[in-house]
Amino acid sequence: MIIAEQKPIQEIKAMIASYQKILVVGCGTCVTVCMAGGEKEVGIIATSLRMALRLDGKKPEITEDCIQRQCEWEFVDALKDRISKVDAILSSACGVGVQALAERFPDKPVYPALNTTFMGMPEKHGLWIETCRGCGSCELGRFGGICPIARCSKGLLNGPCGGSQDGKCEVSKEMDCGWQLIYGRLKTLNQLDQVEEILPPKDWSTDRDKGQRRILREDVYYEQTV
Amino acid sequence: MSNEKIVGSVMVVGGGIAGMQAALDLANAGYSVYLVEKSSSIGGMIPQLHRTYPICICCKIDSRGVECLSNPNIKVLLDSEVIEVNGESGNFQAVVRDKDRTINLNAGAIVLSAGFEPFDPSGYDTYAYAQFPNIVTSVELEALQKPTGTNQGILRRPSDNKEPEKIAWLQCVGSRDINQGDTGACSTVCCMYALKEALNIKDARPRIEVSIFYMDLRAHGKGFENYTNQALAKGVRLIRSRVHTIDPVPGSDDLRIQYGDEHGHLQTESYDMVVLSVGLKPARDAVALAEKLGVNLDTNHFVQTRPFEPTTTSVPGIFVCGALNGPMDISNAVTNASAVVSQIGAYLGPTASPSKAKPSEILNISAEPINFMDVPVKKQALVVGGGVAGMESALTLAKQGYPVTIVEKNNQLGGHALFVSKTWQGYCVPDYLMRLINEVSNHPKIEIHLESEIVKNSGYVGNFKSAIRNSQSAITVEHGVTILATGAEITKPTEYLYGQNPNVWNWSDFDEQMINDPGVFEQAKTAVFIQCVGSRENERQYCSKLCCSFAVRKAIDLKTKNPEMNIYVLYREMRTYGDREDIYKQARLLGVMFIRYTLENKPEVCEKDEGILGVTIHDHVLDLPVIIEPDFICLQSAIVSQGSEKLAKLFKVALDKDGFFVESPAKLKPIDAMTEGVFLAGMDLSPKSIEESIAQGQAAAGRAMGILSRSTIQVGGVVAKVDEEKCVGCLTCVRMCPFQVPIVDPNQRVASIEPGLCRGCGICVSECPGKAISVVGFSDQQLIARTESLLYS
Amino acid sequence: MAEFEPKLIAFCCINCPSSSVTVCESMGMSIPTNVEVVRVPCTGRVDILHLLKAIESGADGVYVAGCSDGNCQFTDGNVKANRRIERVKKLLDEIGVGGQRVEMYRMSAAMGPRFAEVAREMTERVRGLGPSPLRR
Repeated sequence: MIIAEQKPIQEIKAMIASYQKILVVGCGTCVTVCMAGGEKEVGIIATSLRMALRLDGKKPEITEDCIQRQCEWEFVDALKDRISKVDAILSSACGVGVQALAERFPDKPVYPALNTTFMGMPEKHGLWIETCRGCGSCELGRFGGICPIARCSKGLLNGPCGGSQDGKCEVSKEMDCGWQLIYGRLKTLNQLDQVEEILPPKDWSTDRDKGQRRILREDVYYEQTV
Repeated sequence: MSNEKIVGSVMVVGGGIAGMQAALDLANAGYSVYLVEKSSSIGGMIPQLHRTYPICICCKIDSRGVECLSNPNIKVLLDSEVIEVNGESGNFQAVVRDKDRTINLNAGAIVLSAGFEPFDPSGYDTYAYAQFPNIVTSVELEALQKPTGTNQGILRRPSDNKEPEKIAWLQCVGSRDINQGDTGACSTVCCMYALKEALNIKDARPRIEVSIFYMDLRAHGKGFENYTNQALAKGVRLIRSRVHTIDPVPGSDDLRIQYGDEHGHLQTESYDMVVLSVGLKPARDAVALAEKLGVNLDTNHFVQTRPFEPTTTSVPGIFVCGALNGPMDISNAVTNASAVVSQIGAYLGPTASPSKAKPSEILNISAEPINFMDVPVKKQALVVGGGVAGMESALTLAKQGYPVTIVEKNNQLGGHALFVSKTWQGYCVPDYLMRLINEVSNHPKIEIHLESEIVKNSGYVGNFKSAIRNSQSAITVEHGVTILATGAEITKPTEYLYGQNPNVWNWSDFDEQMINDPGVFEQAKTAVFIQCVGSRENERQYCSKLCCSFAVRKAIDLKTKNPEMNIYVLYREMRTYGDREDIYKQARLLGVMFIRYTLENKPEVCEKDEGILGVTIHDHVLDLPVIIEPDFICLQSAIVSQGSEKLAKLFKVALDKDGFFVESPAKLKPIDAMTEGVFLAGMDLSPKSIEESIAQGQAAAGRAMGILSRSTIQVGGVVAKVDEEKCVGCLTCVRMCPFQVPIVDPNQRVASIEPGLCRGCGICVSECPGKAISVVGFSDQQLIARTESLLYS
Repeated sequence: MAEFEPKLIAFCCINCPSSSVTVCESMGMSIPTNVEVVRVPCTGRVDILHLLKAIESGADGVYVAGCSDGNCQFTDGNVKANRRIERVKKLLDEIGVGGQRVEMYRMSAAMGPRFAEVAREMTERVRGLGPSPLRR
C-alpha cells in the first residue's frame, strides 16, 4: 500500500491562506489505513487550519469530505457539486489522488496535505517501512522474497557492502541490513548457493528512466463514453 | 417450628469486603441474604485504608457497598449483632438485635465473615506505644495518610504536627510472636502493606527516608515481587532485624532504635516517627459468636476449616470467609467469599434468578437512552483443565444441577496433585484426590473429555460455543460460562548438578517418590533442601509461593520418621505465611537447620569421589562457609506458566509478562477474566497451594452461578458499532482493543464487534482512522455537542 | 480590571477521577466553577478531535482526567489517551494556540482532593497563559 505522512499545518496553511472557501478531501483507501488522510485526519486537518487561519484574522469556510478512493474518476466525480462551491481543494490523498482531482477539476486549485512517501507496510501498528520501489521488473525470486533495491540502502544486487554490523545498516542503526535479511532467509530456504551467482547490471529500462510508465491491457481495456 | 428445609435464605455476619462479596454473589445467584453488620456502615477495613497493593481498589469499595444496599435480594442490617442462633443446618433461627429492636430471622446457612481487628500493641511495653505519641500503628498511619483525614493527606507526626523526615516501620508486631503477640501465625499482609505505606510516602514526598525493619519479607502473592522491586528502586530501605526496644531521644520528640545488623553489629538510628506494623487478630465478637455456635477454632483462634474444604467449618451449614478464616489479603478474601457462595449453592440447591440489568454508572451519563436485548442463558459450563481447581469447580456446579463439560489434555484427571503426597498441614493428598476423581467421574452431570483440547471458541457471556477435539473426533458444546483451570508447569533445574547426580532431586519427583517409596529418603543421614531454584531471579521475578511450606513439611515428615537425620533448608526468605508459620516453628523445634543465602552468595554443589555430594553455603550468622555432605538434595524449582498463549487468544484472556492469566482490569474481581463469563482458577493465575487452588476452583463456580442461575442475560447497551459502509478493514480496532473483541473476517473484509463481548470503553472509536465506529451514547457528535453546549452556555 | 477567568473543559473518566470528584464533595471542597466536566466511559474514548473542537469552540484550556498508571479498567485507555494528548499539544504549538493549554492528569480515587487540585492547577496555568488567542 501507499504510505504517506501529513505535512506540517503551517506548510498547508501557507498554500491555502489566500482562499476563502476550501474543501478538504480525504481518501478512504491507502491513506486511511496508514492513518494519514482518512476521515479522522481530515477532521483534524480542517479543525487545525480553521484555528490557524483565525489567528491570522481570517474567517475561512473549511468543509470536509472523504471519498472511497481519490484515484478513480467515478468516486472523484461525485464531488462535483461540492467542489463547484469552493475556491480551492486540499487533498489528503497520495499524489495520485491530488492529481486526479486536479485533472478532473481543471478550474480549481488543488493542494496536497500529505507527503506521499513510499510503498510499504506497517511493521508494527504505527511504524511503517518501505518494502517496494516499483522498479518494474521484480527480482524478488532471487533474493528469498526480500528486495535489495528497496531494503538495502545502497540498492546493491551482489551481496552486502562492508558496513553491515549486527544485522543493522551502517546508514542508520534503526534499519535492518537488507542483505543480512536476504542471507538469513536464503539460509533457511537452503538456497544460499543463489548468492554466489553474480548478477549482471540490472536493466533499469522498466524503471521510470524512460518517462511516465503505462500499462495497457487489451483484454480488459474499455473506452468509457460518458 | 417445622423441620422443613429453608432453601434460599442465608445470613452473612460481617459486612467487610468478604461479607459484601458473599452477599452479592449469593444475591446474584438468587438467594435472599441478611447481611448483619455491627457498625453503622458496610465496607469493613478498606474504607480506612489509603490505597491498596499491588493495584489500588479503593475506588471500587463504595460502589460495592451501594450495590449491596440497593440489591433487592440483600437486606442489610446495620448496627446489628447476632444474639442467639438456634436450629440446625438448613433451618437456623437467629435473633439479631439492632439499636432499638430485636429481629427474628430464618436462614438455611450462615456465613461468618466478621473479619479481623488489628492487634493492639498497648501492652507491648518495650515498644512503648502507649507512652510516645510518635509511635503509631500502621492503621493509624493509614488515617494520617488519607487525603480525607485531618491533615488532608499531608503526613504530620502527632506530637508536634511536624512533617517527618525519617520514618521506620517495625514488622511482626502481634505476629510471629507468642511472647507478646499471643500468636505464632504470620499475619500475611503486613510486609506488603508496610511496603505500600512506605512507597506511597516516597511517591508523595521523595525526600522522606523510609526504613522497614523486618524478619522475612513475605512478598509471595501475584505481582508482589515486582511491587517490592519497585519500592526498593524508589528508595524504600529494608533492614533485616527484629527491633527489641524503642527509646525516646532525650530533649526531643524523636525516637531511637537500636538494632543488630546482619553482621551482628549494634546500630543506633533515630527517627521522627515509628510505625508498628500490627498483625491481624480474629475479631473478638466474631470469635465469641463462632464459639457460641460451636464452631471449632484453630490454635491462633481463627475459625478452623475442614481438610480440603477451605470455607467449611466444623458445624454443618455454617461457613467462613475472609480474614476470620485466617489472615489474608483483599483479593484472597474476595475469592474466599465467592468460594463460600458456591458451597452454599451446592448445599442449599440451586435457585432461579431473573435477568438483571448490567449495573453501570455509565448509563447515567450517556447522551441517549440505552437499550438492552435479553438473550437466553445456556445453563451449562465448560471447564478447561482437570486438575484440582477444575474438578472442584466442575463438581460444585454439577451438584447444583448444571451440566459441566471438562476438557483435559492428559489421559487422566488430577493434574499436578497426582504427584503430591501431603498438604503443608500434613493432610494426605492421594486420598482426597482419589475421592474427588471418583466423584467427578461418576457424576451424571459431568462429561469428561480426556486427551482433548479446545480448538475454537466464539460467542459471549451466557452464550459461548466451543469446539473440542481429540485424536478421533471433534464436537461442539454450547455453554454459558467458561472456567479456565489449566494449571502450570514445574521447571527442571539447570544448576546444582541436577540431572548429573542421581541424588539431586527436583521437588516434584521427590514428592512422587515420597508417595511410592519414602524409605529411600528416610534412611538418609543428611538432607539438603535448596529454595528459590529459578524463582525470584533473572527473568523470573516472582515467588513460586508454595515451595517454602513444601520444604518445611518434608523436613518435618523426615525428621519425625528419622530424628537422627540432619536436615538443612537453604533459603532466601522463609515465606511460611499465615498458619504455615506454625510448621516453620515446629521444624525448628525438631532441629531442622535453616540457613539463609543471598543471590550473590548462592550455595555451591559439587560432586566428590564416588558421587558423594558436597554443598558449600555461607552461613550469615557465623559469617563462615559451611560445608555439608548430604545423602540427597531436593531442589524447589520454579513454577512457570505452561504457555497458554493459544488458550488466552481463544478465550480473549490476557497474559502477564510471566505467561500467567491476568484477572479482569475491572478490579476486585480476582477470579474473573477480562472477558465476561470467563473465570480463572488455580495455578494458571499464579503458583499456589492445593487449598488455595480448591478455594479458587470453588470461587470460580460461585461466580459462574451468578450467570447460570439466570434465565436470560442482557446484551448491548453502551457498545461499539461498526459502520460497514465506512470500514476499510484496516485492522486498527483489532489491534487497539484491550479485550480483543473486534475481528476482521478475511471473507467479510470489514470489522465486526460482538455486542455481547464489547465493554464500551470507546478506545476503538477514537482510534479508527476512517471514523467507521461509534459507541452508543458517546458518539463524536454527542461528545462535541456536549462540549459546545457547555462552552456556549 | 477583573481578573481573567479561564473557561476550561475537563474530559473525565467515570472511574477514579469521578470518585475523586465525590471525595472532593464529601470534603466540602468545591470544583472551580470555570471548569466544565464532560464525562466519558474511559479516557480512551477521548479523541484528538474532541480536544481540538473544544479549543476551537472557545475553551481557554482542555484537560483529560484519567485513572492512575496501571489502574485503567480497560487496561490502557489512559495510556492511549495520553499519547493522543501529546499529539494535540504539538498540533496546538504548530497552530499557534499553544500546547500548554492541553494536559493529561492521572489520579486515583484514593488521592481524594486531587481532582479539585488539578482543576485549580490547570486554571492557574491557563490564567497565566491568558485567554485563548482564538477568543481575543
